[in-house]
Amino acid sequence: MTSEPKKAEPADAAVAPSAAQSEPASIWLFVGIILCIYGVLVVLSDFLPHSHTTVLAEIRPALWWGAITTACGAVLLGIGLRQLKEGRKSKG
Amino acid sequence: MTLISLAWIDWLIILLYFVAIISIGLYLRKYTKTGEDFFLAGRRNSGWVAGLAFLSANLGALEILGWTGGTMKYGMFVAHFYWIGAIPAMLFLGLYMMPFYYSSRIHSVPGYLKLRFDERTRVLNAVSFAVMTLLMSGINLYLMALVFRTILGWNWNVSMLVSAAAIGCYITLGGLMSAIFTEIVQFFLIWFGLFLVSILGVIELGGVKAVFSALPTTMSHLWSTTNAASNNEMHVTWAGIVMGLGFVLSFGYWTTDFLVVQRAFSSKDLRSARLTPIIASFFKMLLPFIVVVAGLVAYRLSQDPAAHFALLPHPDKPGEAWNDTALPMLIARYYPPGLVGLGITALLAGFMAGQAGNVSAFNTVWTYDIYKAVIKRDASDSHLLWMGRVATVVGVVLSLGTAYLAMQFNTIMDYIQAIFSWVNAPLFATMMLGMFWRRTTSAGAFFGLICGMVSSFAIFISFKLSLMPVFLARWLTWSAQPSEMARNMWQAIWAWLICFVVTVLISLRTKPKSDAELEGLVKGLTPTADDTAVGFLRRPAVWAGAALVALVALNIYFW
Repeated sequence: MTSEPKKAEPADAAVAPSAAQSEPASIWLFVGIILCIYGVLVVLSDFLPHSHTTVLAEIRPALWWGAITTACGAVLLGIGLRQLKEGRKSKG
Repeated sequence: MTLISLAWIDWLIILLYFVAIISIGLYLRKYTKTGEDFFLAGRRNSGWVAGLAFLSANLGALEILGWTGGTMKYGMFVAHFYWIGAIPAMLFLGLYMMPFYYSSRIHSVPGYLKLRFDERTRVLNAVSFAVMTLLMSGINLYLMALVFRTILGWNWNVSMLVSAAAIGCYITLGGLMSAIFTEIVQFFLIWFGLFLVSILGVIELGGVKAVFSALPTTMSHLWSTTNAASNNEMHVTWAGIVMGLGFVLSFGYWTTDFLVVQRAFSSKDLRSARLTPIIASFFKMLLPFIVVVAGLVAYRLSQDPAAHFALLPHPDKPGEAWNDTALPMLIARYYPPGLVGLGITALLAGFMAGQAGNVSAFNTVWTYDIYKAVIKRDASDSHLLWMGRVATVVGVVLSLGTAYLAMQFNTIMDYIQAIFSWVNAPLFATMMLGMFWRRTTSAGAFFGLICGMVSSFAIFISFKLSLMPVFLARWLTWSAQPSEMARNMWQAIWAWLICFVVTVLISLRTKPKSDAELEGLVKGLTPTADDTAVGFLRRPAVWAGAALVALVALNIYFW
């Protein structure tokens, strides 16, 4: 069991309310975009010619890991877009 | 000659990261109009956002590289730092301490000390915390430059100046919100950029069982080798782990270090703030699957001459392998171009987020607990916002100074672990007594804190300068030759204990504050929160219970 203090805003710590009227877009939108771009770039890199041979290159890690990254990025992008749409709707 | 060569696609991925974080800072600037926006991200974050940021503030590249290398030395014992050394404290913070922090609407942990005790205790903690953050920030910057020069051949000055400029830019623009956004980006980059190393390592070695089967017993268990200090590589007993790491160091760091707690302050309501460390605890438990597994893979490969795997030599200790290069060496082994860019960006993001976290905590503590408390008491909100931005730039410049200092005197790095036991361990005793014992007085807290800090430093220096007699070392640490890690744990225990005892003794002889003054700040003088008002699955206590069950299961499985 926990306790919740009822003391609110002692004089020293009183703060002005946030002046920003609107909310920034969801962080998931930004993370989704970044992961999608990175995932696609990593997938593409698998098809680029390169002289450097790595251990386990035969299982093509860039191809499937890039695809997983893109897919996860797409999910987060979807969540971010949905939150953005809901935010606009509630404002409208 | 460098360890890893970057292809154009790797450079593109790194460049995109810088573009992304600066763009985020520019985007968030228009939402940063008040002190509350700048220092507490407008108190608008959900438990998930604050939780991931809470974890990421602690998840710097310094920690990832250090503990991957540490696993090569200590084996599975490193998982203690992620499990017993973190989870109970995070849950305690969420369940019991957060209501006092969040509901008193303070901007910082020293702010609580002012309300509960007095100005001098607040300033003492604020100054020690500010120095600690600047030191940590600079050392983080220095190690980033060292790692990137060694593995990529990057120029010292360029890598330090570019990353410091980028951090200064986005924190000045968007304040804590910028730091939180980039920390969450970093969290995902670390998983997508580094977890693959562990997966490929396990595949190469033939599966998880194969990785563990060839490890010596001293490295492959969590608890079964802790009955005597000589039975494990860390030279520590279960008592040192439970009391030093699991209690004092862990609770001292996770419940009082403003760098992490600040993220919870940015939550939109008390329930989200309480959920912040609880959500973070689940992800914290998963981190050994990157860090420890990669370290064990590196250990196994280094023991097999046919694997052709060797660490780089330590730059400051001739003849010694540099364990911190284990992860970069594995990246070089497994990652083709493209993935290399992602892995390097993850490390870069980790280093930069580590520094940004320190800078954003510094600007808040400086502005509210030193500048407003001592220098300009009547400062307006807009003036404090301006001061926060100035403090960010100054903090970044001072971090650069600390980084160059660390470069000249690399022994400073030996003090990293010890610094936490000087500042955080005694502070935990002060906080605990302050929140849960209403008889604690301001004089008791102030002098207890000083005694705790001084005693911790004295023990550290005595060991460092070899002034500690063997009998005393054995009495203080339960071991004649404790490892540096074991010394840190015991040092923290003693600092906590001395602070606790001195605070209690002085408190019993001095006059406490009245109950009216302590209302809302101490347990027993506040109404009990009713968690049943929300659905079962939305209750912090339910998720904390689930985290505790997972923690117990992991410890039993790897016993």
